[in-house]
Amino acid sequence: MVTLTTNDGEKFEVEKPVAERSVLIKNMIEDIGGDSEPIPLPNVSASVLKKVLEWCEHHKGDPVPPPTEANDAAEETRRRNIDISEWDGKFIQVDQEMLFEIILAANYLDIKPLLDLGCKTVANMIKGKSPEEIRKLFNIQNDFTPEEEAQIKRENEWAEE
Amino acid sequence: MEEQTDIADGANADGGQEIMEGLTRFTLGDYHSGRLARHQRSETSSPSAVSNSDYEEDDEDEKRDGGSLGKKIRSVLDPARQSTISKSESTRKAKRVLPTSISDEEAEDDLNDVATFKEDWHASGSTETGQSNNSASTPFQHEQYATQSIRNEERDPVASRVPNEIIMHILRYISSMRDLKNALLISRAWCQCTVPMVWTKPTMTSKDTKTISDIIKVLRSPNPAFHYGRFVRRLNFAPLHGILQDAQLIEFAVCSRLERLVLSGSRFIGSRTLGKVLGQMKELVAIDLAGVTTTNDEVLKVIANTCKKLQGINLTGCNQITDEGLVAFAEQAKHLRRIKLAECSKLTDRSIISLAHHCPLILEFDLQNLPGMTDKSMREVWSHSTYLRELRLTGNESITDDGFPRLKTLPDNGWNYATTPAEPAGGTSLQGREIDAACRNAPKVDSFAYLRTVDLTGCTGISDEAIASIIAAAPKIRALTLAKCVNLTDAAIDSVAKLGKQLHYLHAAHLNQITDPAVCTLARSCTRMRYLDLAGCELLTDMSVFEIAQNMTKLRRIGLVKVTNITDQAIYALVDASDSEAPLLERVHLSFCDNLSVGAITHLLKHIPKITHLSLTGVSAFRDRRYQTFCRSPPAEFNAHQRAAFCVFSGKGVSDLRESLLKKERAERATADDVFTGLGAFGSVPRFRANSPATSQNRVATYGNATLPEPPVPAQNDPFAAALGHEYNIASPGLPLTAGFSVNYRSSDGLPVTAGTSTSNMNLRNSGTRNSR
Repeated sequence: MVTLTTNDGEKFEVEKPVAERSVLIKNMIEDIGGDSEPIPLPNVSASVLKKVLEWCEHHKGDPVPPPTEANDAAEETRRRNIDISEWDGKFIQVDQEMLFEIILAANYLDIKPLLDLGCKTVANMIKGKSPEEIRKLFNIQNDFTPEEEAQIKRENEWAEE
Repeated sequence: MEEQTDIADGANADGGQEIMEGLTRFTLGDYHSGRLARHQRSETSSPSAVSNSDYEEDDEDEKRDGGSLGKKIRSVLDPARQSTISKSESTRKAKRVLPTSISDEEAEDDLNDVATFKEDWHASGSTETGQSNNSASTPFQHEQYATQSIRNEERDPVASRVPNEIIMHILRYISSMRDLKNALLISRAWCQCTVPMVWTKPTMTSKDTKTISDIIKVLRSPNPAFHYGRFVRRLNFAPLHGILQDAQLIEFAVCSRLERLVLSGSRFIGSRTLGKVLGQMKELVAIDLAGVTTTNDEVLKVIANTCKKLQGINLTGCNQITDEGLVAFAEQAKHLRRIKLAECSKLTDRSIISLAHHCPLILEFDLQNLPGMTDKSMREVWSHSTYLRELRLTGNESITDDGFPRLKTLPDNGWNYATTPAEPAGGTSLQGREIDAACRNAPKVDSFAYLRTVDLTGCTGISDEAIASIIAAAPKIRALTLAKCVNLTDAAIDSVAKLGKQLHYLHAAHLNQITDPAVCTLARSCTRMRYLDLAGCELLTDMSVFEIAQNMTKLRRIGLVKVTNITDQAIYALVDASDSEAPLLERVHLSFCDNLSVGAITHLLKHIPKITHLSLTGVSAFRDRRYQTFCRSPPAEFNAHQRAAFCVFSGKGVSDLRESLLKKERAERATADDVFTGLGAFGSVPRFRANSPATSQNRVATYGNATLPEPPVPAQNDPFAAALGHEYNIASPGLPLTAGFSVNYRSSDGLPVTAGTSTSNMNLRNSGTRNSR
């Protein structure tokens, strides 16, 4: 078992194979050399880690692809594959705030399949929406001046399918 | 999605320079950058390795890619791709860093992967984007970010805290330009991430020049939001080939990070403009100048001196270039993988030898129609360019067997270029390393292990010996073209047969010395053949077709134009041997096979539904208005006589012809039925069930005016095949192969019926097993 400490002070006890879905944690365990010490995760809150660990638990048996170049082709195929499995699809049905928190945590914890899942989900949400709709959806502030927005629009108008 | 994998390429690779130019970055340079950088890194391949995947047997894909040179070349030398692993990462996980061979080439870091607004832009928007201005001053920002993120959590919505690297990752899953254009306008951060994707590969359509004019307007704009030109990685002007002018092309000189440039057919572009533009393209990996006839030695020298990363060049038809320019080019083109020199008529052996010696990584060598090329340079290619995958020598009549020395004369250490005399003394160390890496990844064989495609069309100087030598050295050839190599005999085909299942494509038209026994050997050996052309091999008979049909069960296309001996029996054999569930034949060329009858063709079309192309020019039975209405219109250059004879069906034409023939057959069958109904009064004569579903023995085929029972569909254990095998002694040259090879199909009443023009004393089929009542 491995103990993980979140930035809001909560402790999680998880099986090693579950925790090691995170390459960051896996490397930390290797660096420390043992699994007795609690591992601090200053970038992750308890509510997000709980969700992330739920994903790790479900995917603990997945083969971990070795990060070698020989894997490039497979990597490529996986990345192009926009499909989301049924379980993952249900898992990622969360509010947009949690969605981005999961993405940030997956990026920080280095859980590539989870990062991909989050990014694919956001991409799917963006498709077919106007800039204003996207901003509203994700609560993003429009920091362009009207002139800037017009210029960007004008300068990229030519682009076609 | 492919373009989007290149998003990282949209980066400003040399960030230092950017800053000097007074531009400011907006990126969140923190721990996250390193994280994503590693992911991106693992998706790209190392330039030091000649990746094995380059040699994977995807010839068919390659064929599809066809025209565009270098399309497949990975931009393995792209500095942005090589860029980095942030420093904190590389120290912590040294083992994941790429091979040291390229570490010196590694650029700054991935922060540069994001576009930057120009300075004046930054000034106007800076107050609103204070958060994203916290760019990295130190690589060790882990803790700093941690506290920052907690602080931000109280203030900003989470989506605004997402670092640009993640936005880019999201954008990679968006393929439509409309969605990308919407993403551009979400916010400044999203805009920065999206702009490189929009500009990576601008698509310019033919027909109207509006798009290119609009792009030029933006590139020339005095105060654009971004240095857009820097994001452009690929430019394809081929659709504009008839209209592109110097004044337009010159505007694209600002695309200094261009990797692929297609100018094929742009005949109005002057050599001076070419030189000026190419002189800016230090990152160029592939260039297509096919038909840009203004290309001269000066242009080649500019390319040689500027485009140090070039891997592919298409100079087809650039007939101004001479040895002087090409040798200068070859000496600098250390990474060259693909080169097309077809019809560069001024080139001589000197150019080819220089390429063979200086560019050992060449995998595609297109040397078609080079009158100046002789055995002297052919020998150098054949002993040095062992990475060859594709070799085209069409029309080089002066090449003889001497150009292809036997395997034993190849250097034993064919893989160790460092020691071959071809390597210039003290050749660059980078090149040495690349080849070493390639050697490690490559399976060790003393031959042209990667050679897949060889085209020798019209190499009239070569004989059987050259073919034997080529096949011995290159045992994995998949596509071989020997058309019009008029000196080749059965011995050459016997050599080709040694390729066995490797061979998928053979074009052997106009080898008018080859005979049935050689084709039989070929058919029994090369059973995976997809495409076979034997047009004009006039000595061949039905026997060859029987053997092909029986053994080459994966055949998609068969060309038998002017194989004048063949009869209806050959057609029946093709149908009988095909998989009755899913016959594969798609294209059948039978022009000038004048023995063929309407009945046989009806049978063919009826049972092989996949046929989409059928040529029957010069087949008398089809010189009929009824059929010619479905015929494709003849090529414009044909004269009146040729037009009259032209009889080729394709696509809908084939289905219309099929329908018409079957209708005719049904009508005739009905007539036959009436006749037999009358006879039926006797009670003893079996009925032909004309309109019954095509089950088996009792179907009817028509031959000209006569109505005959159709040959039965072969059963599982077809005695037909066995019978053929026994009857033909292909090893016996004395056998009169052209005579009497026809099969008698029996009518249901047990009486032998002669089909079409063939008559035979030989009954290969046991009628007892085939006819049921």
